[in-house]
Amino acid sequence: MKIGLNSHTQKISWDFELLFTLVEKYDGACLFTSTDDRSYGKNILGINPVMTFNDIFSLDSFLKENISNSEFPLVIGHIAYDHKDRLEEKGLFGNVHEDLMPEVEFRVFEYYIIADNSDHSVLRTVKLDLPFKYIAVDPDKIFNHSAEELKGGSSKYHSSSLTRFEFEKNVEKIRDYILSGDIYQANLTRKITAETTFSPFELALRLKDSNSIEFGVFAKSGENYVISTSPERFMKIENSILTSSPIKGTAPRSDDAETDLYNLETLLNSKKELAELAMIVDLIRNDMNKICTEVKVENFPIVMRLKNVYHLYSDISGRLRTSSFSEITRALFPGGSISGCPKIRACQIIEELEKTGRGLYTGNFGYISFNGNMDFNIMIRTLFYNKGSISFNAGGGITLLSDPESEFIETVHKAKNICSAIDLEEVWEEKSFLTE
Amino acid sequence: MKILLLDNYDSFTYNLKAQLERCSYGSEVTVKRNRDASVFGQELDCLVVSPGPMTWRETGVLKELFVKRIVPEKIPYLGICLGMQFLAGYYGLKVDRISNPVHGSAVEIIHDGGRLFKNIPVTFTAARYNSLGIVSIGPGIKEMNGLAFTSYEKKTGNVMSLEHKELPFAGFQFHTESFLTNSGDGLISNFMELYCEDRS
Repeated sequence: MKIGLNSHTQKISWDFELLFTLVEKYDGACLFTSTDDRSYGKNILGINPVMTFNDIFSLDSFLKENISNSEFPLVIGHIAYDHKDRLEEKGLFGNVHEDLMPEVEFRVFEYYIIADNSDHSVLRTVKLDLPFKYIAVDPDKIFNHSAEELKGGSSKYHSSSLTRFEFEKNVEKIRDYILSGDIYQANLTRKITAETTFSPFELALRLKDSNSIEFGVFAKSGENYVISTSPERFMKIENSILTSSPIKGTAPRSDDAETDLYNLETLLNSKKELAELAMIVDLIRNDMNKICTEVKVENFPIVMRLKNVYHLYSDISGRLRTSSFSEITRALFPGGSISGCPKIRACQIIEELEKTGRGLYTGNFGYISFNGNMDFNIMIRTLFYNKGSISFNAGGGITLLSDPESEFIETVHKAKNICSAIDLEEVWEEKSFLTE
Repeated sequence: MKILLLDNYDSFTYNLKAQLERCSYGSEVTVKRNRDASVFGQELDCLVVSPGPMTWRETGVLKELFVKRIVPEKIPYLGICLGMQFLAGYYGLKVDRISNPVHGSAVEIIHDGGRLFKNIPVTFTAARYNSLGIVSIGPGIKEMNGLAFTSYEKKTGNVMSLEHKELPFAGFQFHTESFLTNSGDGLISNFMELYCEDRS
């Protein structure tokens, strides 16, 4: 199947309310950037899905058939963390799957809209020429929608997949696994579920404003919504250069400049955080060496400044030896920063300790262009919504130097950003930490 | 030369593969996982054993391969981390939990000036990723059970490398392939030159 495209630039003033409204009206997917520098980055929106791929191999052949010079997106979609067992040797992982949303869903959209943050008066639009029948969007009406009224709402806490006791016990277990030589590090998370009366549209706007977001997502597929406020890049491919930017290490920001600087310096001198980042850098180098030449650590460490936290990360790049999406994904998936090291053993231990699947959480969401360029995030700090039910995870990397209590409290702090954006209070024993 | 790189389901194996390709010019490096029985029929001039999770006894087909082919055919063997621990364990040294586990940090290492360390500074830094290691080696002991101890961690005196006194077997406890290790390529090149030259 060969798909063509027609692109044009339109003078239309836009804001995020418009982009998110289009997601809502046309079952769309919006990849957004909303950092403190409001002119930085661009937003990519696909509306009116006309084709769906639920496995990466048929997607692969479709991408190959349609390769061209165009930099415009061809598909937008995700791979769930739980898909890991389908991409590895059989028998290594258990049958842990959370079936709420499709594990792999890549959609081709009738229209792609690119909105540059540097110019809020112009949109670039692409309409695909599709060689089959589909229900088309009326081109004159695309932008004629008023934003949904914000009615407010409330959220009610339901549960955490691990109690505080269980979480702290699991931190101890991971430390035992480290001492016995099984792993060096594992990422332990817990899932928080709740009910909300907020509309997904309003949730998306509130979450967008909750932080500086480089790799944000607001996507709708039927009754399922993904709202991601991820700061982390899983992989970017530009002209056959692959870059991955794992994050490890977190310190709180402060309104007091002196404290803020002190926190940053403490982070930059933390042996624990630097070691954690170093091992993930070595792991990502490994994964990239499977499919790349000239693998290089570009910078180590780099400081990321978000509204409420500092992070450390690193850029690792390499020159791709393959253009096959499935091959690239199999080499890198799942991300090292959200699984552990060595990765396979760490994922097995995560299955044992987290008890439930992660679903899409810590999977990847992104787009692939006609020309083979792509960009994918790691779905952390991400909310999933289905008919008023919401869920999100919070967690952290556990090393030998981890303290169970502080690791648990860190999950409370990490959840806090989402919680306050959606007016949710974690009930039960965590509560005392939230009010501290 | 054909190098077989046995992968203990590790996450650093392909860094080692890239390093071997850099440092053994023109060699063909094949990666096989440690459950893969096809290794017994594999044509090989050198076996490199990756780091990996768990203990030296939990390394799949490695022991059988070592007994059936590596020792009788005197095939050069290089073990990194778990791969070194296998060598130690196989020759009867005690491998157990150590008192100073380190994961993802570089430590200072001092070597004895031997041939494996040609052109490597006497003190160099290398990444450690281990909770287990060779234990119960008193200070001043330079060899045991036919294995020579050729480098030590500066801070603790722990053994950081082994060389077999008669057979072409060596191992490093630290990670030559880590981006935190300064002299990794030099060490691998030395191993290839010393043990594999006549095979290439």
